[in-house]
Amino acid sequence: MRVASSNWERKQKESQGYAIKNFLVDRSMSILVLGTLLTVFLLTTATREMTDQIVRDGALRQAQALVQTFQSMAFSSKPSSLQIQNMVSKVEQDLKGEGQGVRLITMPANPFERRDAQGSGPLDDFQRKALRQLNEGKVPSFCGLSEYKGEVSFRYAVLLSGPEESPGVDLLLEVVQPLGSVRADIKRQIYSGAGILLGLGGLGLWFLGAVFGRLKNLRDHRAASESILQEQVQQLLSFVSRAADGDLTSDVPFQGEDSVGMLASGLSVMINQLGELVWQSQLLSRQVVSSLSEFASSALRQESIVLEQSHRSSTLAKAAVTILDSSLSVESTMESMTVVAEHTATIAASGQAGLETMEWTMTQVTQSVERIQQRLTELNDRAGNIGGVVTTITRVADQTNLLSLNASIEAEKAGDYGLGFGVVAEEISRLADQTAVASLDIEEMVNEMQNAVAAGVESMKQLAEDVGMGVLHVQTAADQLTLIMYEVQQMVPKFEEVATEIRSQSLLADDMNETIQDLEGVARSSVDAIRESNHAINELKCLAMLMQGEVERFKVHQ
Amino acid sequence: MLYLVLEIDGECYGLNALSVTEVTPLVELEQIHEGPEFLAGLLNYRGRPVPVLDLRRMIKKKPCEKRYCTRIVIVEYPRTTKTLTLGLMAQKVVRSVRVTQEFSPMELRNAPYLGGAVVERGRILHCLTLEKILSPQQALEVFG
Repeated sequence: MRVASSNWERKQKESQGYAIKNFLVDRSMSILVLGTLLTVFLLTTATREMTDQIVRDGALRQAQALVQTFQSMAFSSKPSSLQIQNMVSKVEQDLKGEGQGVRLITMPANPFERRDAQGSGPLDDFQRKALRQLNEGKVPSFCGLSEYKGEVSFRYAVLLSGPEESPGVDLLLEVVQPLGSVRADIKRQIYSGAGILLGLGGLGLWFLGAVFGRLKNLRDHRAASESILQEQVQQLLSFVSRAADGDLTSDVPFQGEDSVGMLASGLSVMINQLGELVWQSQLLSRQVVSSLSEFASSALRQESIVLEQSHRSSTLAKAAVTILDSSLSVESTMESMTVVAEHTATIAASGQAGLETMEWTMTQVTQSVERIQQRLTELNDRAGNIGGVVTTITRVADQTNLLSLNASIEAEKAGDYGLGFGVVAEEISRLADQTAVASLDIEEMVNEMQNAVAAGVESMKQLAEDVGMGVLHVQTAADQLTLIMYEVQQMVPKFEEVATEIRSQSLLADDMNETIQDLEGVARSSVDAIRESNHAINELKCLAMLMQGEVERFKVHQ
Repeated sequence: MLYLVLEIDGECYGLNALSVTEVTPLVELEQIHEGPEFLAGLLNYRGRPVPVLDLRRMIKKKPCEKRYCTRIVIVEYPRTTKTLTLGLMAQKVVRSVRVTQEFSPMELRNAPYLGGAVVERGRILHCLTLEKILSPQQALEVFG
């Protein structure tokens, strides 16, 4: 392969050399044509300058001939104006050119007058200049290039003596030759010459081209046969390089009986067999990758399942720990409750004793109250008796008082006879007063005592009732307390039973917790194992995929 | 002069003992519903009906309380030509007093029955004028 490519490179370099040569041949033709064109251009420019010179010389010659004709005519005899006219028309006919003409301008014969003469019309710059030069007599004639009627013209001026009919008048003869017309004329001639020259040049060029073409054809033919071979090799090379890049689908571009064709068929067979092999290995590698993917996914599922199991077992372990804790706390609570219950039983027992004492005391109080009530009732009766006595005394006192009062009134009525009786009545009255006051005092006291005793009796009655109710309540409370105490005493052994049961339960929970922790450890280790195997599978899968990628790089017929 | 002392709410009124017939204890009186307010009722005095005036109601506009010391004083009420027996009910009619001084004269338009006053044992004693104990109007109401 390396050798082939170096050959191919050499070939390519050679073909590049050919191309450069061809390019140079083609360019030499162009350079030739360009040179010709440049020459023509230079010739044209030179012709233009030459034309101007020729025109100037031609016009000078014509004008000089004309002037000589005039002068000969003028000097031989004075021409009449008609003759001059005829001559001018003849010269004009000879000139025949477009824009060419002869002008005659009459001038004063005296040179001093002529200096400022305007002639038959206004003089332009050239005419004034010619007139000045001719007047001075330095030159016989004056010529130069000047603009005339908007065109650059060659002008020739000479001073002639005037016709015989008009003495004292000279003539300024001016011949005008526009350069444009003369130049066109000469250009035509030169162009025709140049055309012939160009034709000859073209013929030569054609001949040269024919010779070059023949040579080129020969060279092209040889190059074409070389390039076919080169192309075939190139195609084979590209075919092989495609195969090297992994494209095994392309066919051999040509067949043949020659050595290159044989090489091509051999290559084709080889590439086809290689393609089949690669196709088989592609199929296999795909299957391997897909199997590995399934394997990996199932391993992942397994991992997740085991993980979940592990989570669950850890949750279970937590729950077991919680159960253990709670059973322990329940146990301690039960113990404290047992203690409390025992304490309660003790308190209840002492409370019962206190209640019995209280009940006895209440009974005593009730009896005392009843006794007091009896006494008070007796006292009330006595007081009532005293009241009756007092009432009797009071009534007696009242009667006595009334008696004494009436007695004293009667004694007063009796006047002096009743004086002694009056004294008696007064004494009686005094006695009655004291009795009444004493009895009234006693009555008030007795009344107060009676009221107090009655109130005391009432309140004692109320007290007796209250005490009776209190005794009843105390009895009820004592009964209930006894019941409670009995229940509490019954409860204590039950509490102990419960505590024992809970203790055994907590032992069981402890066992369970240990078992679950073992289970969790097992689950964790199995998770680790599955992870490892998963990792291995993934690595295998990566390798398989790498292999598949390598194999898939080849394009094959399917 | 001996005066019978009638006490009405702590004020002492004296009645001339000569004009008093008898002092009787308080007994149940026959009520006269159509009579004037100051008429306490009719007393059966020795077989004769005697009108009894409630002095406390007449002076203090309050009826006498029923006590041992509340008594009825029987008097002879002088009316134009003849005297009429009349009972005066008052509280604390328990004593008589002998007045030696002259009563300082007194004449009140709203209380014409007060005939003067004297200080006796440190207390003011008003003298009741029996003739003016009833106004003519009241006398007409009682006796016709």
